[in-house]
Amino acid sequence: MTGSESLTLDLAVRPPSKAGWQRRERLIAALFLAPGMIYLFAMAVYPTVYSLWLAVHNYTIYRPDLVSYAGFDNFNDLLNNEVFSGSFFVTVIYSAAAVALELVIGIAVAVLLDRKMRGIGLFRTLLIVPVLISPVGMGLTFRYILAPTYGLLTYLCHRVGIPTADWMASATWALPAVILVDVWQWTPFVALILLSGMQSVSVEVVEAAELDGLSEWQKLRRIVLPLIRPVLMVVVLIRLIDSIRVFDMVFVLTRGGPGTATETLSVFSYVTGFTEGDMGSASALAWVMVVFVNILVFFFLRALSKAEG
Amino acid sequence: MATGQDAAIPLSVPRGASAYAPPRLWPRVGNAAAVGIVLFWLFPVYWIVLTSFKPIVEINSAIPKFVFTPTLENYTHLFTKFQFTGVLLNSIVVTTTTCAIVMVLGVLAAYALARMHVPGEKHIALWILSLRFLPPIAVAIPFYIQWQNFHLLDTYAGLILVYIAFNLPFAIWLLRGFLADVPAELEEAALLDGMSRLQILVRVVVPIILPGLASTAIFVFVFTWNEYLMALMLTSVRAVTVPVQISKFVMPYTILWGDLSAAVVIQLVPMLAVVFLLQRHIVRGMTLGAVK
Repeated sequence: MTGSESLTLDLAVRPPSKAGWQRRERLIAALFLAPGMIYLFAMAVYPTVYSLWLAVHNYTIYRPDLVSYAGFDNFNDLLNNEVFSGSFFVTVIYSAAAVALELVIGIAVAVLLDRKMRGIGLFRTLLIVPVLISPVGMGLTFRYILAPTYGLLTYLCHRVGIPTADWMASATWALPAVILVDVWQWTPFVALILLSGMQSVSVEVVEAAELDGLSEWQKLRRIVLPLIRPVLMVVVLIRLIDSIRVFDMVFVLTRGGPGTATETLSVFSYVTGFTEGDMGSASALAWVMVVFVNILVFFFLRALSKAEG
Repeated sequence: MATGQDAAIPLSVPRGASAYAPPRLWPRVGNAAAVGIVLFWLFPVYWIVLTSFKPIVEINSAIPKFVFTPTLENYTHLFTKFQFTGVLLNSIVVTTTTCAIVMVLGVLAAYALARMHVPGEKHIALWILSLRFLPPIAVAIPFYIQWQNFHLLDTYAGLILVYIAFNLPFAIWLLRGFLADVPAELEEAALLDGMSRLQILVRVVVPIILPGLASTAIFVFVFTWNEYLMALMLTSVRAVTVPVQISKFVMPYTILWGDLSAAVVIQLVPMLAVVFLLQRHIVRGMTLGAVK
């Protein structure tokens, strides 16, 4: 009697059937997932959709009551706007140049730091520091170094006899200067990740290459870089996407100037929306970026799946 | 192999040399170059730290000085003239609150995705991750308009609500990776013992992935601490954060380099602690799990 009672109790504690247990599991999973998902829908998906709504309306920040449907006018205006094509061009140059330089220098730095040496760990750790500084802090530090009269670089150029300029105010030099700062902040990021990738290359492969008599350069080019291609792709895509969206570094260095020489799409959208108050056009612009970024995100997710194995 | 130095500072950054690392012809030249490139790369950081201790008269001097009598006048000026304590407090409150909420929501969602047979979990996870790449400017304008209606502009809540949304995708993704590494047998045993899923998560799983939790939280901390665009748009006076205040030292006709450099250094200090705390997982976090 007592034995069967304890059996019923046991059954009461445990879900009676496998199907029932699975149903309960699914419910609990949904409960765990729901807060985060609802939050993301409300605070990330909804604003993006709202932004699309703004993009097809005339909406000025000063008279929100005067909102009216605009159809594709905002997008059409963009296509006929020279500042937009200029800004698009600036963004492409910025991203392409910054990421290319970060990749080339990053590989070189990774190879340099890939060595047995007392204390090398400390130097690798120190290399993270530029990545962790805020882009605002990094941008303004360089603004000080590049300042026209009291900047260190200007001073050094004078000493060596290289002609200087007011870099940030020069239509020729402002964009290269901003790219330089991006490279300074993010090359360590690329280098450290590639270094990790290099360490996952197996001894056997490298020994085989050595037996084949490959030179150091050939080993890097033909064996190591192809083997760490998945990691390489992930890093390049992260950097590409982030540099297309760049705002803070450019904004604190030049505010998009002189003129529109460094006005990336994010800065252009900010100026259109908040300085000129044209939230409709600014949103149309932002949506052009959303589309471009998401194309790259698609490739990024594929690369990531591959890298994860 | 880890050298003695590496063991003394247990780092996450890659250790030793890879199999590929070539036998060096001139090891000393290579070593010097490795040290040189790191120091060169850190020079701007050194320069801004140095500037923060310079007397005001030296800061704008045409001949930059490396040697001078260090002073704290920039720091005292920053705190007395610009009420930097309040700004610092704003940043601390916003960042820690964001971290805490992101971690709770993140762990729950990540656990369901990693362990509980959610249909299409891989696709859901990838979709969530894709939100991490949303251009901030695309959501900034809607938030500005809505926060205006809800009177959330220039408040802690207004910033925190946005920052949670910005960090949650990344956190869920990273945590899901850490959770996937936990052997399932432990949970199965706990299930057989009659523990509920929530009990298992809190009592069994969380203690195991504590290092992963810590590094995820630190990444959220770094992103929130350094964020500029949203803080610039959504705050004006009361809820101004450190990066926004730093950019305010750039004035129409002058730049207050003394206060600016001191503020940059203060903003950097917690990051330096982060460097040494992040250790094991920094590369994994930075690549969103592509490199473990």
